[in-house]
Parts: sequence; structure tokens; C-alpha cells
Amino acid sequence: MSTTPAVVQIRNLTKKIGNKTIVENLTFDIPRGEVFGFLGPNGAGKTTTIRMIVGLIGITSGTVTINGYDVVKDFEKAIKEVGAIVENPEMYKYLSGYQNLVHFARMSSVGQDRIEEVIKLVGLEARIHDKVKTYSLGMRQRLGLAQALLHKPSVLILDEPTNGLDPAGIRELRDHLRMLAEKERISVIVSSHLLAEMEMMCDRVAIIQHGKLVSVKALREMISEEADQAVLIEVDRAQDAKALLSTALPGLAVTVHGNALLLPISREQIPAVVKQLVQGGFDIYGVHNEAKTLEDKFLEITGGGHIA
Amino acid sequence: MLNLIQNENMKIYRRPRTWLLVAIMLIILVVHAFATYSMVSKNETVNPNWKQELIEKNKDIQNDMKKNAALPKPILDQMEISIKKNEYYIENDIAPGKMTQWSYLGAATEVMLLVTIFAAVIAGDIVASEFSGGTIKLLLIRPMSRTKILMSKYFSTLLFGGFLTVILAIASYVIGGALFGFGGADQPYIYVSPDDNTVHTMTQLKNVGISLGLQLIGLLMIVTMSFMISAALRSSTMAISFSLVAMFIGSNLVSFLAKFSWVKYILFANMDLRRYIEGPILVEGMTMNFSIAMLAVYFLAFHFFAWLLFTKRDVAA
Repeated sequence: MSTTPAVVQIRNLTKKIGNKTIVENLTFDIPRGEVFGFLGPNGAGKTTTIRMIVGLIGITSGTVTINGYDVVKDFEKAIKEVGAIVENPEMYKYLSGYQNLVHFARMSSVGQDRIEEVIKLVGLEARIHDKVKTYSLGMRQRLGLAQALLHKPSVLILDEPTNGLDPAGIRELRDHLRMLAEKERISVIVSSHLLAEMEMMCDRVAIIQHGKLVSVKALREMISEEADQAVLIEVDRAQDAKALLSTALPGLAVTVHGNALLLPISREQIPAVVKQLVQGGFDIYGVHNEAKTLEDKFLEITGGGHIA
Repeated sequence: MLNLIQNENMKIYRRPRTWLLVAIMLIILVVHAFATYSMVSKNETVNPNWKQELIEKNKDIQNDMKKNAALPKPILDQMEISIKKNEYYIENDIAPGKMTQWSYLGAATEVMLLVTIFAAVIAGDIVASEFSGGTIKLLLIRPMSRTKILMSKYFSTLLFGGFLTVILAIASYVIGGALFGFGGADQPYIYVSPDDNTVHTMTQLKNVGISLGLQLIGLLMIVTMSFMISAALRSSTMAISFSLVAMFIGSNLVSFLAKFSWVKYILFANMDLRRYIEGPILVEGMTMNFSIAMLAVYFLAFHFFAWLLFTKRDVAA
């Protein structure tokens, strides 16, 4: 884990609406140059948390500090270095992409050179002077990213940024974000319910459910925890095979699943087990790796992802 | 702040809708001008008998007043004012209805009602549309306070009202000149003062200036109300329909309720300051200063609610 000071500090962040608690007691830090994933099933409170971070909605209790400024007490200073897309990138449809960028550039005193630079960065040169209402969802995402990057923020917050992007676009976005984090030392907060994406993009992932933080872990840790993998071997007489293995390899916990055996062994141990079975006269129909994916892990942690 | 106003102006004038409003206003102005022109030329053909006509007209009005004595007092007062004016025309041998460019301009200030409606449409939309379009989320996450953003929107709406007013002034000056010949600014304008109940005159120029000024006060109030509803309820439909209904029903409603003295605290009882120059006074004891004070109170209240609800409420659109 990084030791650089946190750019975004979240402390005991809570949001209540009426007597319903939407977000409860979230605490975490995001250091400079980290891509931080915010993972949770629909309705878990991801967007509500993001709205509190950017000051769109009030905070019931707790604090959000960005670059040392409290987002409630010092809003203008805190938000100065934040670029964000909250939910869908909704722009002024009756204006061109370029006019939209000019609009937001005026609010942060950004010059024309930077506008051109950002247009190139997101690859919208060809259509930038067309009206936004003619854009596809993917192009709107790009324009959304462009407005978020205009003022060279040190914190970039993207809510479900891959929505509407094609696979090439997703890959490009991923490369952008990694580049921004590594080269420009921008801290990126990305929310998503898509795990595979988070796996490829993020350094650390916070999982929230029912508005509560379930776990914050470096992705490496999460994946290494998956060492508890298992192998499924389909055989003709499962019960007899189990008896054979229990005597041949004592200490191995073998369970029978229908016509198959489930063995908690690593890849290196597979040949030895297969050899035993073949020598014992069993027919083997298949050997499958039953390692838990990050997805299983996520479902396990969030308890199946019921909508809160 | 200037950047913000520039942004709001871009969002107003880059929409075709805005130019449609300008076009509609000009079309209605032209129709109004020709309607006025045709009525006047008809009057001129029956010119020789105008004195006799006015005498008969006054008799009719007097009969009406006797028959409908139960009508609200402001309406009866209005009838009496017509009689006094007609008597003045007869005594001083001035044929009424002779239109000049400037007396037309006095009438054309009525088209300011349309400017008020269109400015109220823009005002009702300017905050609410950011919510319905979802763009409010991008607008409010900039290093600008919500108060500044709200102010820039209000000023831009007023600028739009001013822009329409200038177009109206130029267009009606040109049309008036073309139809009635340029000039007539120093001709007398006849009115009955409620202070002494007698006929007075002022120049047409002064009358146009006063009419325009009073219409602008009405515009300011309606636009501010529409803007407040837009910011508070975040719905352009509500803002626009509320302010239009209020505008058209408000003044009639207060006329019919004039027998209750509490009516004087209603916004619409105070919007028509012309009553203090030409009558009739709505409720006994109301004065120009009272109405101006009431308008100021409403104006500040509208701004306070708009500001409170825009800056303090959660944005969950």
C-alpha cells in the first residue's frame, strides 16, 4: 500500500434521508496516483457517496477532505482540483461538443489550448463541432471525460465510466486512466458493478453494500487470497475413487459431488492425483480448475448482491 | 461572474426556441400595428359627427352604470373616467382617435405583456432545465458557489427581457413611423387624475416613457416570480404555467375582490402602478408608495426563497 499522503480523505461519512440510512460510516483514504475502485451491487450507495464527495448533496455526519480542504466548509477550494462525471455524462444537447467544453472551461478559467489538447486526448476531433444530440453514448462518455479533465484535476471521479463504451473504448479508457495515475499522479475514483473491469483498472477496491464498507483491499491481496483453489475430477465410480485417494494420499480432504471429486489441491499436485486414479483402474472424464474468481469473491462478500 | 453570464447567454441564444420567441413577438407587433391602423382610419371617415357620437357614447355608459350598479367599484370608476375624457374632448374641440406615431407607441407598450410572458418562459426554464437535462450535476461541481450560479442565471434572464424590450422599441418606432408618419411626441395625452378627479394632459413622449417604465416593473415582478418557482420546484412547466395564470387571472381577481381591504396585500393589487396616475384606485387608501413597498417585499421574498432552495437542497437529479 502506498505511503504518499492521501489526496481524498473520507471519515465516518454518513448520509441519512428521513430515517433511512443510505451510507453509513464510510472511512477510507485515496493516495496520490492511485486508481481506486468503488464496487458494489446496484443501490449499495456508490452514487450517493460520490455525490457527497463532490458536494452535490449534504453530508449527514462525517467529513470529506480533498487536498486538505473540507468539501462542505471550503467547497470552492476543495472542488477546484476535482473532475467528475456523476452517473451519465449529461451535456447540453443543443450545443456542440466544443461549445460544451467552452462552457465548462469558462467556469475554471481554462484556455483554448487546453480545450484542443483534451479533445485530442479523448479522440473526439472529428465530431467535436457537431451538436451533442447527434452523439452516441460512447461519444458522450468521451466528452464527459474531456470536461472532467479540462482543468487538470488532481482527483478524477468517474461513476460507471464504461457504460456505453465498446470493448475498444473500454480498453482505451483503462489505458488512459492508468496513464493519468502513473504519469500525471492523478488519483482516480471509479465506481462500477463490473468486476472484470475493476480487476484490470484498479490498484485497490472498496466493496460497499447496504451503504456500509464491507472491505477495502489491494487487488493483489484479493487475488492472492484466492489461493484456496480446488480441482474437480470427473470419474466413473466417485465413492470408490474417494476411498482410494483417502488411503493413497492421507490428509487430503476429498468430497464427492455427484460423479466428481472435489479436491483442494494446487496445479502442481494434479498429475500425482491423476496417476493414482489411473493406476487404481478408474476412468477419468475430465479435470477442471474450480478456483474462485474475483466475481465469486465479490458475491461471497456481498452475500449475493441483493438490491438494497 | 462575467464568465457565468456569458455561459448563460450562450445557452439562451444558441437555442432556436429563443429566436422563435423573438419572431412571434415581431409578428404580433405587426398584427397589432395594422389592427390599430385600420381602426383609426375607419374613425377618420366618420369624422364630421364625432361630437354627437361622443355624447351618445356617454349616455350609453351612464345607462350601463345605472343598470350595473352592483359592479365592483374600480370598474364603475373606469366608466366614469371614460365619460370625463369624452366631455373633455367635446369641450376643447379635440377629435379623439387621431393617431400619430407617438400615440401609437403608447398603445404598443401593451405588447410589453408579450415580452413579459416570453421573459417568464426563459426565467421558468433557466434553472429547471439544468435539472431536467441532468447538466446541473456538471454545473455545480465547479469552483463557483451556487449563489453565483443562481445570480448569473437571474441577470441573464433580465438581459433577455431587456433585449426583447429594445427590439420591441426599435420595431414599433419604425412601424409606427411608417404607418402614421414620424412625429407627435409633443402632442397631448389626456388622462383623469385620481387625486382631483379632473382631466389633465401630458406629452405623448412622457406617456410612452411612463408606460414603458411601468411595464418593466411588471416584467421584473413576473420574471422574478417565475424564476423563483423554477429554482424552488425545479420544473419549467410549473414555473411558466403558474406565472402566466397569475399574470392573466391576478389583475381580474383583485378587481373582483376589491371590496375586501386585505386585497391590498396581494401582489397583483400592487402591480399596476398606473392606477395612481390615471385611476381607478383599487382599494381606498392605497398609495403609490404603499404599492412600491409591497412590490419590494414580494421581490425580496421571491429572491430569498429561490436562493434558499437552490443553494441548500440536495441535488439528486
